[in-house]
Amino acid sequence: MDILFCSAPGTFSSRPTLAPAILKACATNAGFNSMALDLNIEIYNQIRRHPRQKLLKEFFEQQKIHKDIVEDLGNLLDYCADRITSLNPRTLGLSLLTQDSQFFTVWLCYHLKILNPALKIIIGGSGIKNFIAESKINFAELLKSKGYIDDYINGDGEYSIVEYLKDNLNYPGINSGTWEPVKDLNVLPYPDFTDYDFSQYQEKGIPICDSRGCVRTCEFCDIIEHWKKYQYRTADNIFEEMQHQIKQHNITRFFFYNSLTNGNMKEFQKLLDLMCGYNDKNPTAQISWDGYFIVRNKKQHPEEFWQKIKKSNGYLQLGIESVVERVRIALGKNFTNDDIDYHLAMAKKYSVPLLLLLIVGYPTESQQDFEFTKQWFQDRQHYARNPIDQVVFSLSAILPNTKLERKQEEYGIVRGEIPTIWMTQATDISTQDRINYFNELNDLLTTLNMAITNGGSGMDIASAELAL
Amino acid sequence: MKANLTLLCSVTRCNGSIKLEMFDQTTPIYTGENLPDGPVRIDCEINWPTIINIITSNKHPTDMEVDVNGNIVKDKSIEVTGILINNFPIHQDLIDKLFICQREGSSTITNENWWGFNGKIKIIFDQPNPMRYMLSLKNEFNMNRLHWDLNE
Repeated sequence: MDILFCSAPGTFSSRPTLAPAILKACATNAGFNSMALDLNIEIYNQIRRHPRQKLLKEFFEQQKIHKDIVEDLGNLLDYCADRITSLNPRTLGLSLLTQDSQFFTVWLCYHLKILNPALKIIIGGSGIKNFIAESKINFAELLKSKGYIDDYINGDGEYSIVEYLKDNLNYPGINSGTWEPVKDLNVLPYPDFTDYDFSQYQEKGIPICDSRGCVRTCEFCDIIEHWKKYQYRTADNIFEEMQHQIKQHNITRFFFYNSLTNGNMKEFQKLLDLMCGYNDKNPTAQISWDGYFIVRNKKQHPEEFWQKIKKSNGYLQLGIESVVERVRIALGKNFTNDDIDYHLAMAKKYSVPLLLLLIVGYPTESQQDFEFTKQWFQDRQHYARNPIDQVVFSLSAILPNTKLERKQEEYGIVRGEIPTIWMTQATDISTQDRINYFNELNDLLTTLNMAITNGGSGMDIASAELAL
Repeated sequence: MKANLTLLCSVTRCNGSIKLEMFDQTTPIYTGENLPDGPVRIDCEINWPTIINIITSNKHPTDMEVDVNGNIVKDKSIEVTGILINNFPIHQDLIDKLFICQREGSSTITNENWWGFNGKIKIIFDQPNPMRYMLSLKNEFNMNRLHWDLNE
């Protein structure tokens, strides 16, 4: 086998990872023999059932090696190494979706290089940039300098991985910080999931990349720093891929892995029409989907639009971030609280489930804003479960390479060891205050019968408490 | 299985240097005589698992400089300031604990990383592989040792 594409464990999600399937399709298209292995789900399934789950997660997030998990960690690393070496690839392509995979990747690559020094290892993905433990350190360069990996790819890997396999190491993005985004997402081959075992996933569905980048420029977000320009696929192209995957895997649920599904309204409306048409023709095996979704004003999302979302079985993930209008608009989300209420009302009317994403304790939020937020949820208790299926809280974090990081001085922010540990001179609200507030919100929403999920990527409460 | 063992040392000369002989069990892997003052890096390929045996010699009672008040100003010795296995550094707080030392003419076992004596030193790599060894030490890939060089 020329190359084995693997997702690096550390994304605590019960859904399939997309990168190995995309890269396999590109390598196959170019005539290379490859395989796609979703190692992330295999490790996730072991961890989620593990009696020492919490301690294992602490290893992923902060590399804490508790004495009770020494054997468990060794077993996980051996399991991964065995899976990889048993397939006997010449090259291993390890894809890190987020920085949460970094510590495990260090240990896995270290182990693999000792077991099989001849195995070439290349890493890529949005999780390889800055080291989670120290943002000034280039993670991939660090691993390369230690000899734990041979090479790395920054940015879009569809073309660069093929050039890499052709030994063209001068291609942009290979062992370099500068890379060229794919110019046209519509011409890429469809991801190849034929090596995936879909019975492993609690949430069974096919991931689809319909766009890259974002139309907004929120200051906390690192996606827009990665993909500086918003790119989208046409509705026809996406729908063709859906039909292809349905035929291949007999799965009609789709997860849009993107920053937003409704970035290009014209194409999104068309895609909704195509999905609705499919569902009319296939009433017993309807398409359903979920994806991130921008709140817009009523004129842009009229009632008939909601009818189509319902008919296409959409599940919307709304990046609300703050229910305080002033804070939200200033951070880059240009919609009003009336717009949110309109979306809640429409979603309720058409039973469109919503997931609300909120940042707890944004640097510009005050104590009064905390109280306002609690009251906001109390006033919307009647939306619990329908349409608010879930609320995802993330502790406010200063992520490396974001506008927010660059505005630290302006906000009077002093940062600590991890992105969620920081203080601002503007408010005197400490990390501990934010954790307390986070817990208060959790308790409140539980009493309001709203389902809550803790945000990942080190923005959960456990990592912050541990680091304090 | 092979692994690369690196010892980062600080040598103090006084009438020459300590002589250092290292063995992978009984196979010689390094000999250092007349080492220079200051930082010295020792790299050896070793089998794994194994026991590394080290012999220190060439220390004499006169290999020490004392000032008028009786304070030692120079003492022939080697101090191990870092251990890396395939570039993975072992935490500084653990270094002395890993060396099992026995001074010539004594039956007492000590754990130390300062070797200003003639004697035998052992380091035992008893886990199935370096990854398991690092885990057993609860040795994190430590940020403070990432940029380790001989001048640190």
